[in-house]
Amino acid sequence: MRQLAIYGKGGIGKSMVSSHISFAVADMGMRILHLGCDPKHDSTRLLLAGKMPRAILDILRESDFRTGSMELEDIVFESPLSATVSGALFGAESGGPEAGAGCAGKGVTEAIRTLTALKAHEKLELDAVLYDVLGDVVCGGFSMPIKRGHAKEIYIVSSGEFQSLFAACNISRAIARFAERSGARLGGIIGNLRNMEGEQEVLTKFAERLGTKIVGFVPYSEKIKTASGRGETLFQYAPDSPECDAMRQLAQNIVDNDTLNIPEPLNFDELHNWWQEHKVLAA
Amino acid sequence: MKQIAIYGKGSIGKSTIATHLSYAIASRGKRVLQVGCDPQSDSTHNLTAGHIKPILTVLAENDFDYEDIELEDIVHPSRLTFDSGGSIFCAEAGGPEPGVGCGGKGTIEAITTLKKMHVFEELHPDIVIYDILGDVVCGGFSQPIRDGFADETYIVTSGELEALYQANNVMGAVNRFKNRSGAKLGGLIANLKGMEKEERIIKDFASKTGTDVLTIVPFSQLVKQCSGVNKTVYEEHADSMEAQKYTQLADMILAEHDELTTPQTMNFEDLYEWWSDYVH
Repeated sequence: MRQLAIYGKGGIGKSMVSSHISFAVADMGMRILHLGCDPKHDSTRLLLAGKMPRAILDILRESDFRTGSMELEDIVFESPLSATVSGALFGAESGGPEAGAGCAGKGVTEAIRTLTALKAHEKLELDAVLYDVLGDVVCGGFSMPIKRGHAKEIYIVSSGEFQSLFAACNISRAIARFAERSGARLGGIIGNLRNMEGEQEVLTKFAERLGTKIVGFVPYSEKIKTASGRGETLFQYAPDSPECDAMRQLAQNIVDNDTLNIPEPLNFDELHNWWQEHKVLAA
Repeated sequence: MKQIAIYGKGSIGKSTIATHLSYAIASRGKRVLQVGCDPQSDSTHNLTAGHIKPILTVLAENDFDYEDIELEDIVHPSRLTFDSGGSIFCAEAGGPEPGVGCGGKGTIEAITTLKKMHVFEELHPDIVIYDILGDVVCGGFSQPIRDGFADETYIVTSGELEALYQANNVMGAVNRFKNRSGAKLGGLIANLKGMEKEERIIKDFASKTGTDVLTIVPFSQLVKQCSGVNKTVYEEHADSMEAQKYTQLADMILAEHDELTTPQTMNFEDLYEWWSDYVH
């Protein structure tokens, strides 16, 4: 079973990108579970015809965190789009803490524990699991999928902006830290372009500097925004567009990817200096 | 001494707002302490001559032994001087090593350290500005609200869903702790990203949640350009509209106001539906 995780800073487009990957992978004939690991619990929105599923953490709270009386159907939803693909597409959301209390990464830990307890992987006969994880705060909680070896291949969504590259470095440091223990590796960078001049070159050089590669670029596009606004992926809204082709190619590159690395991340000062040499101006 | 917290999601412009507030307030002859509470540790970047060492790093280097740490190790005077006699001091909380521990720990440790080392008594600032990452409103990052360090909480937001979501979460934290710590919401600071109908979205959000929009900072390349050379807009374009906006905001925050509110939060599904109606 392929175990993928998509990390990126909040607002960078990781849920949008990972929804397209999950759909494309299911369209290739695989059975995939897309698990949103962002307290905002809207990762699977584009796959569920605009609806948002209830978060696993919310359901657990109602049952005092006992999984004994829970059914898999309570927490995992089959996407309405599943009928349109040759594989199968399932979704679930981890959820997060109440504002101001507790640990934000707890949702991730609890979601994985619950899915395991309910034997989701066996019962759904999964070929792949995709974790879509918030990467702003790479604390113990949010790095669970890397740390415990739930995710073997990590992909980082990044634009050419400094903040986004900084988050990518932090995620890479977590991978490097746990690589030996958990077997997690960096699969590559997914460039989600923000319409900056020279952005592809900056991202390509950045990937090289990290000791990895670009697995695909998502073009800056009004079509993607419109599709997202409608609660759809490009596979529904504009399947024949060049943007959708880019998504197909990205998913194919991930499925075919056989070079996984332990990254060599930069610390803040190193990144800052690197940035001074390579920075681009907003177009 | 007044203590305020500026919350905002990463890259929304909260450090830019905090930095210019510090400048404007120091220009009024006040002593300001700006504390960056974002693991990225660059809140005060445009106020200092170089990158300053985060408190958490200094603590780690000294095995968390306060005896070995001097005030100068953790609080740094700004490179800026003011004819008004005001001054700015800068500190960065720092964050954990990626992959281990708690992201909010930097915030908690930094504030505890400032207290234990009697920084407030020695510097006697008129105002302390905590610049805090609001993406994850967990126990750690909400400590300034929870433990009553921040008398007033301000939230920087754009019209983007992510930004409004975090604003709503910060409001939830203010509500949760209002009785325990006396936490109050000062209002929203709109930092526009250039979306369509953005001002209307933010104003409507404010009225739905029962709060005020204190100021609307337009989308500006000028501020970005200044930041690119590590400068404030006051140094490069003192007469710009942007500079005036920040000064206005600073005066509003300095003024005593009793109209502080406890907000009404929205649940995410409602927030999402309401927001979607605007963007379609």
